[in-house]
Amino acid sequence: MPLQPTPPAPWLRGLTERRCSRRGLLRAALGAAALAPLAACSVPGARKPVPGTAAEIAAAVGDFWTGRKKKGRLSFANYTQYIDTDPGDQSRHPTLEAFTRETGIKVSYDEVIDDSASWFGKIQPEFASGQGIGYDLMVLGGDSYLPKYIELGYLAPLDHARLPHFARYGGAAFKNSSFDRGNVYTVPWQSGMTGIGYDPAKVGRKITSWQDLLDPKLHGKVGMWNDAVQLGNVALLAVGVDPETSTHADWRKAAAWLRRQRDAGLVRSYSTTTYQSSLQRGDLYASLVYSGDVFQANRSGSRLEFVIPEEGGLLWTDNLCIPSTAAHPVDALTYMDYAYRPEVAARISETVQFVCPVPDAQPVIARDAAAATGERRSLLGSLSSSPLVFPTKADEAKLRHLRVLDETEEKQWNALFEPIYQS
Amino acid sequence: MTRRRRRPGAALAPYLLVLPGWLWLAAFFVTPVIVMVSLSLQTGDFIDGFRQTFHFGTYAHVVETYHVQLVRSLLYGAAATAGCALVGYPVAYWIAFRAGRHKSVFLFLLLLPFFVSFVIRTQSWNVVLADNGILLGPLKHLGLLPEGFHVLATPYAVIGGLTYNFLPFMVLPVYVALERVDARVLEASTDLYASRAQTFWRVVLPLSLPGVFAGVLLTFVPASADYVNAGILGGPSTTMIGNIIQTEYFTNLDYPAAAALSFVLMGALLLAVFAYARALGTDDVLEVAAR
Amino acid sequence: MTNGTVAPAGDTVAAPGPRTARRPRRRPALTLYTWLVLAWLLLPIAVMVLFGFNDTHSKVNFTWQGFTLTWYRHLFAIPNLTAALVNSLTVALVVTVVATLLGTPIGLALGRHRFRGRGSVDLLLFSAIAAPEIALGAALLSLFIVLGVPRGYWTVVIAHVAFCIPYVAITVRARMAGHDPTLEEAARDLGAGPWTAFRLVTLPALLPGVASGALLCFALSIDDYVITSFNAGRTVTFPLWVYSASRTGVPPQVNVMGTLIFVGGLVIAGANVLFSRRRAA
Repeated sequence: MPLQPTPPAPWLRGLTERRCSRRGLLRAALGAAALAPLAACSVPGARKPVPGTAAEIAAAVGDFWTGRKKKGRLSFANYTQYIDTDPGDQSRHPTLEAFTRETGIKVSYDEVIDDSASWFGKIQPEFASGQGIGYDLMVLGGDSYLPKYIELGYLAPLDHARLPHFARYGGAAFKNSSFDRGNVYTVPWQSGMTGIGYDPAKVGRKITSWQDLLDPKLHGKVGMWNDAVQLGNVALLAVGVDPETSTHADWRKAAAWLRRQRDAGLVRSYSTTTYQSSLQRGDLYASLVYSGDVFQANRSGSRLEFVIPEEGGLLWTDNLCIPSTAAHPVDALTYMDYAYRPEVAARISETVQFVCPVPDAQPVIARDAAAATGERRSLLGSLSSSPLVFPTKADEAKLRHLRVLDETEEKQWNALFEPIYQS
Repeated sequence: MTRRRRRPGAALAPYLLVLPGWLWLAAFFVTPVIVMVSLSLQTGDFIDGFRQTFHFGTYAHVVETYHVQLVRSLLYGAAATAGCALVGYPVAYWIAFRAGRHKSVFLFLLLLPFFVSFVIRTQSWNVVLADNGILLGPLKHLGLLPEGFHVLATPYAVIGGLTYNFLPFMVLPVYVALERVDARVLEASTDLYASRAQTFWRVVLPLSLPGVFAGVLLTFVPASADYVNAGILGGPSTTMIGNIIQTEYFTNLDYPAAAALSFVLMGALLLAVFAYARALGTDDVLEVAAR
Repeated sequence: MTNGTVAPAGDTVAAPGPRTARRPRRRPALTLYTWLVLAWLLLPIAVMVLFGFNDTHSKVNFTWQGFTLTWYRHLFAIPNLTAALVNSLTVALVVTVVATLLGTPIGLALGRHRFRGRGSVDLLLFSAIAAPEIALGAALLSLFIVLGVPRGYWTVVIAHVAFCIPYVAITVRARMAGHDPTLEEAARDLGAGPWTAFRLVTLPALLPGVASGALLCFALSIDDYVITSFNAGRTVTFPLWVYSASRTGVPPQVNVMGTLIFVGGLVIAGANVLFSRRRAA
């Protein structure tokens, strides 16, 4: 933008001068033609053979880990605000500092991931160029990008012999997800639920079902997401189908449900970037939300409620994994196991407030609450008893997993659900 | 002009001067556009790679799938441009003819928004225009607006945001053109008993048209191709073509479709601009403006 | 002018008088209108500055909670935001230097020389300015994809330099157009070498144009969102950070940094005015 106090007359004048003689055009065209060989360039594929049987996996694990040693460094890529922070200083992460003190491994921690899609787009060329991405550990969503990482050979198979705490403390509900049976490449970092968040004062009643998002009283006040994965899975729940076993016909029904909602003028916007602030401002009365959103909004003064609708909510899992190009994989694996100690998981949950994949962290948080005072005591107390962090058995029964899509299915899926929010 | 004795190497001088910058633009502007066109003709998918097959069908496919968003972008761009012209012309006029000695102060005020990040400015409207925010809240409280009234998440918010963001690009060139209108011409007009309105419509406006042209150029292209305003201020059906291009590149990783859409957008806008220039006979008009 | 014969009485009376005495009638409506438009333009800036002083405890900074200087004291409390700001500033600096070095000679050549191919250089600059930003960003991204170049800090610099060169060139050319080329000839006829002639005659005439071009570059670069978002890879700049922060609410530090950039811009612009005034005097 022009940073000039006087009108940028010179360049405006420059802009309005005569140009583009026919000869000039011709010459430009000739110049362009000289560059035509470039047109032959193509974008190479990168599919790698994926080990399938137990023996193949064991061999791959052996191949990867033989001869690897601890190097004393770890570089960790995460989503924003997705690890514990010191209450007094947001830039310090006590569990990471404790990890360094205990193991001597220096951690460089970066919150550089915004969402699965953009992260994949960003690091894929770095993988493809073979130079590595500079991270030894990263958090990836359990969505349709994860199979891509696996198929492209971008993830290191995990040596479970070195993950005893994961075996012992990892919650069964979070292990063995459909996108990575047997946790060959990933272990859960945090989980979360997708359900409905709403402001009871504005809505004026309790919301219990996905069908409440069709209530004409909410005209123009419902927030949905421009994220085909979440939107489609939620709509499948709304039409009474378990996403994991859904068929193409179910998807069409789900898309029809979404269209009905949109065409009735209920939806104010399809956005994953603005729904939280809009809900808190009152521009939205009800919205698709993650469980953690509501917990955090209420800690900063809102009075929102989160509900897992009776037709079911989504349980998704973000995962720790090690890039196959990692320079310090042993250090990363050491951290992975460390994160599964109940007291570490508890510290992380105390800040992050999503669903904790380590059930045994609950009593630890309750103990911390008893030891704390003032506001922190009330925060930890509500956390340890919150069904948003440690879902009850009844809630767990209502939770479903995301549909895992192969490439053909993904195309069909996108063709159905993208037009809903891209209209 | 008779050429004087040429100093050795003088003929080469302009080429040497132009060369480094030209190379940069050739490598990072011309070449990329060609590569983009090349990419748009490839087929395949992200995992298995894309191969050149000269598949022109992608163009038909993307235009068919996204013609609504394409047309909408051009319409929003045109609406924002018209808005800028209607809102901006009187302001430019006032500054050029009525602001007296304080012209530069007003021009400076007009440029102030540029000192604030474009993204922050756009987001500020989310705060200002919130359904019960500092603007609409009191009006609703007084019963002047119905409770359900909202500006955000409507096409008006997007067009308004675009108009807001690009207004100075319209006002400045119009101002420059008006400023150059010779006061004696206006006097001549009134001396010949033209009314105020006649002087404006028959003298001032035609003389300022080159400025309006430059303004339209500077406003229409970026407004049509913008996706930030639609992303921050938009609603359920305000998706613009820029949002789609972004999704195709970064979410769907469908590079050929994304490249084809970008090229269609660029082609449509450049064609519109050149056609507009031709229709106005701008080669002459611009010659005048350049003096 | 057949339809101009029935002129309003006021004009007929005024017409015979001395020309310079004719003052346009004040139009309060138009004045008011201009002020309203200016208020509209400046409102979001006021909001930004104001909410940098807001004593908010929520991450969503939108209702006034009282005055505080906390956010100025804790300006750098968010490490990623600070890193993004530093990226933006250093990118803008590098881009300004490189684009000015590459763009100025083009402007000089176009403003001073007639040469074959001048038209096509002109067309190239014009197309680069007229093409929509998103197409430039997408085209460069396509190039990097095809070449398998990972996107990051340096691809942002490359992209910014590419879109800044034309602005510098055009600004400098406009300066040179008003400069008499025979002056340099004269200097050389008087015995100055080519470098001396350039340094003593051309350069002083060129400098204000170069300065405006460089400033424009810096401003364009530091504020760019679209081209940057296409080519930044994992690198985050200030506008990118702010955009992605709108998800959970923009922290007040962003308002403070925005305010400081705003004030910095004002100071630089003011200095530029003083500088050119002094030169003109």
